[in-house]
Amino acid sequence: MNINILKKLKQWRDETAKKEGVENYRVIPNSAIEEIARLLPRSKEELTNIKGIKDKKFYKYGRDIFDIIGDSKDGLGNSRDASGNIFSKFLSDNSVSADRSTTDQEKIYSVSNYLDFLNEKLFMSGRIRIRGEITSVDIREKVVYFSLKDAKDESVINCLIFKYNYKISGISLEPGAEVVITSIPEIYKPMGRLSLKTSLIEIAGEGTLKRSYDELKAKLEKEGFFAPERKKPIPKLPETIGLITSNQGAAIGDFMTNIGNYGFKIKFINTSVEGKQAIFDLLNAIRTARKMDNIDVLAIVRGGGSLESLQAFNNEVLVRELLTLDVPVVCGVGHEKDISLVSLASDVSVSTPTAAAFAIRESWDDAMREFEYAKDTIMNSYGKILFENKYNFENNIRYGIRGGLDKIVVTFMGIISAIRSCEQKISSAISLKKERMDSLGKDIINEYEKVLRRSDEMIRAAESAVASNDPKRQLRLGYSISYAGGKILRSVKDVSKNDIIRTRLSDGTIDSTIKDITND
Amino acid sequence: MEKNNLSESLNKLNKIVQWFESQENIDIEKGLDKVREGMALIRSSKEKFKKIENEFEEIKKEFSEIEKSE
Repeated sequence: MNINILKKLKQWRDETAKKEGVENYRVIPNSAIEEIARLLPRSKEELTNIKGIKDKKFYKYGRDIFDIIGDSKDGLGNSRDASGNIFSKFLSDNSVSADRSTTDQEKIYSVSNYLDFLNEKLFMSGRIRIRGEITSVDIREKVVYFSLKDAKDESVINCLIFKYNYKISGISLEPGAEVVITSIPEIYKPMGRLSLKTSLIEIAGEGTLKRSYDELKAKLEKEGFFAPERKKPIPKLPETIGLITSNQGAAIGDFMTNIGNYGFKIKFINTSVEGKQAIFDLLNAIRTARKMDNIDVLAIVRGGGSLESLQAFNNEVLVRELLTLDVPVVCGVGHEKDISLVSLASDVSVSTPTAAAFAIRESWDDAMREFEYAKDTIMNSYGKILFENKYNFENNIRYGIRGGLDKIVVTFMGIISAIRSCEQKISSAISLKKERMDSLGKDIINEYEKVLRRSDEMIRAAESAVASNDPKRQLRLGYSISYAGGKILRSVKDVSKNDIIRTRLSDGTIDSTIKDITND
Repeated sequence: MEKNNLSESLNKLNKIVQWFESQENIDIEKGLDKVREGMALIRSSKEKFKKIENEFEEIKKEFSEIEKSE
């Protein structure tokens, strides 16, 4: 069994089931998938011989299955002809139900056989994209029938699209709308009529596109999808970020460059963001994100574009899918004039991938600023304290309080040695991790150095103050100092009648009792 | 875990800042203790960031997860 093909088939089958909203086995059962991977069928006959695959499934999925088998290097790659079409080989010698005993010239088909033959030819010619104008629309339970008219002449072709594909296309078909459809042609046998089996309808032409955008916007607005009260805030200090964007183009680079290095865990979901696959890819990406319960915030980003290139982001199914998410969504999708509906429905909408990155990192930046603020405030406050203490210190010296001076000097020496040991610790930390030290580390050292320098200055000032204001000199000149209760007396209010005070003179002390107090 | 540590550090720092801002006359030694505590918080938090690199991981879309579960 070809494991590679088996894996691809299963992936395709699961995707298709998802798209159609049916169980996996309803598309192709596992047993049939395994058989395909084992037999690698090359023709309709071989494929429909596998149990579980009848004509109906063959016409619906055969093309996809052959594509998967053919794409695989170890599959049928060697049977490609010059035109690269692996089917032309067996188309030429394997016409459906053709009687092999007759020659081509003599071959007579039944009507049914001939239509089968044509259908297979048409089917094998692959998907086509056609641009035209919608003329008539007939919406049935499971299928939507419509006609596509040429923009210049009156040529018309009949088309049909299954409801689930119609819904995903996100377009309400109206006569006059200019569209591009992706289809496979097929003749409906009971009517003998050619019809384009369509998988995707896209609006073409800026005018129609704009009108359709406005209508959908109004509709979703009315349902309250864009209401500010249902917007979730981005959590503070998010750690795990879901990122939905394309791995092609500048958006992913812009986002990654600007998100900053806060130790984020970024879970990237690759998706196309433009073209006929984008809507399916984006839907899958959002469904994948919804299953990840550990993300704090989801970013959806892409660069700017025209209304036409942003069609996938203006899709109703996608917007509704987005609103089922519990995680807050930051949308950074550029736009020319009209903001995308996915942006409007997101919790935070900005216009570039860079801005989305900044919206997410904002609370981290704020935290860093708080650190800076705290650092500055603490250092300034402490610097101020030391500065103020210097004046107290000098005043004390001026009053010649030897005991007080000693105490202050001791305190300062303590502070300085503490600061120095602190600085030493930091210095050794730096030398250990020198390569790791950033500017903030240096900032702290600088701050410490400033405090240290200030302290040194204070000590020097104190020493010179001591020298020039030797308190004993003051005492010798006849000044004296009185204490009460161990405190220096500065005011008559500090003492009461009959208190005992001690007075220091140059050669000794006197204890006295207060007899009388007079205010000046 | 990192987030809690950081929030805790910020709370502690804010308390230290408030302490400095609310006191009229600050004891020099107490003040120095607070300075040390604050700087240690700032330094350890900042160093953590220098060590942490962003992680990048590509997540396969949903259908491949379904495949695995089968």
